[in-house]
Amino acid sequence: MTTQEAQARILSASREINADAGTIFELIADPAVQPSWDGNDNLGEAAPGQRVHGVGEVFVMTLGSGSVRDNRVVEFTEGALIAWLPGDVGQEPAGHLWRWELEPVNETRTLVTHTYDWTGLPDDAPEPRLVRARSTTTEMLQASLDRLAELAEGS
Amino acid sequence: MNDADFSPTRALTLGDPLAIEPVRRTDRILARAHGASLDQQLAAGRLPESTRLLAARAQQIVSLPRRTSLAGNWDHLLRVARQAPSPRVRAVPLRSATILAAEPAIRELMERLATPLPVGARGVAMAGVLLTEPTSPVYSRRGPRSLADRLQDAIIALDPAQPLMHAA
Repeated sequence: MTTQEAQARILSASREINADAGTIFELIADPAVQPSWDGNDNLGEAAPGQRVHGVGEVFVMTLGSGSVRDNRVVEFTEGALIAWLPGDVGQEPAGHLWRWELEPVNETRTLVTHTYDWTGLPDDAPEPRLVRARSTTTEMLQASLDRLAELAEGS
Repeated sequence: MNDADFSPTRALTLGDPLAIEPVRRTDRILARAHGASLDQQLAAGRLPESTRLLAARAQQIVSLPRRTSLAGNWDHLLRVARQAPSPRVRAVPLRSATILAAEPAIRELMERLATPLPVGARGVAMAGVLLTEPTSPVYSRRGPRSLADRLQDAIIALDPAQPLMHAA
């Protein structure tokens, strides 16, 4: 994969949210809440009690389609950073990564960066997965950010 | 353009006009967004001074708070590897036996990451990539090299006696 091809497989969106980093992080680190801000309209539901606390943990998410994903947490800093690798149940990670990084602007305002990185998805991955990866857009990431902002600013 | 011109709702991608402006905040955001890819390049030996984004990323990951957090991530991984899998999770989330067999090397890696002495970005990137790479031996059998070998490479690269800058 060339550098340009790799760059095309990394999508990112950022915005400032009028809430402190801790409030926003709670909405991301608790999988049960994630469907409420998902801009892809892809997530169905996650059982309560799966709040993430560190790398190596796995949370289970049922998609709107009914498929179930195990999400391995691969980066974690409380209140600041969380990233996970989804995979089919019982399988190794598929290769795409979702990341959220929060940077306080001040005590009540936070810069949030949301990234979808599918550079790790192999070219021989199942076609439906590649189609979904290719069809993911920065607008979808932005939609997640905007919904997250509504929730965080209203809480 | 300066920080005040940054639109808080603007989506950033490489190739975006914002990305070619010498804006420190934009570089920082892009370096974070492309962190996994940039870390791969740094871990492979690409010099931080090769590009502005690599330099920004290297600067981020060598900070002591960042390294301490990464050491904490490895510690948490060891704790999870010792636990019985959650009944909720039907997958084998980690290669626990492989991770626990490498515990002495992981402890050494954590010590090197948390040292207050300056260390090179390559070693920090190697330690991070081992956690974020989908084919990492932490999660997968697909990778060509063992966890022990890759940990050893990272430990050597994190030796504070290693030169931080390469000769021109």
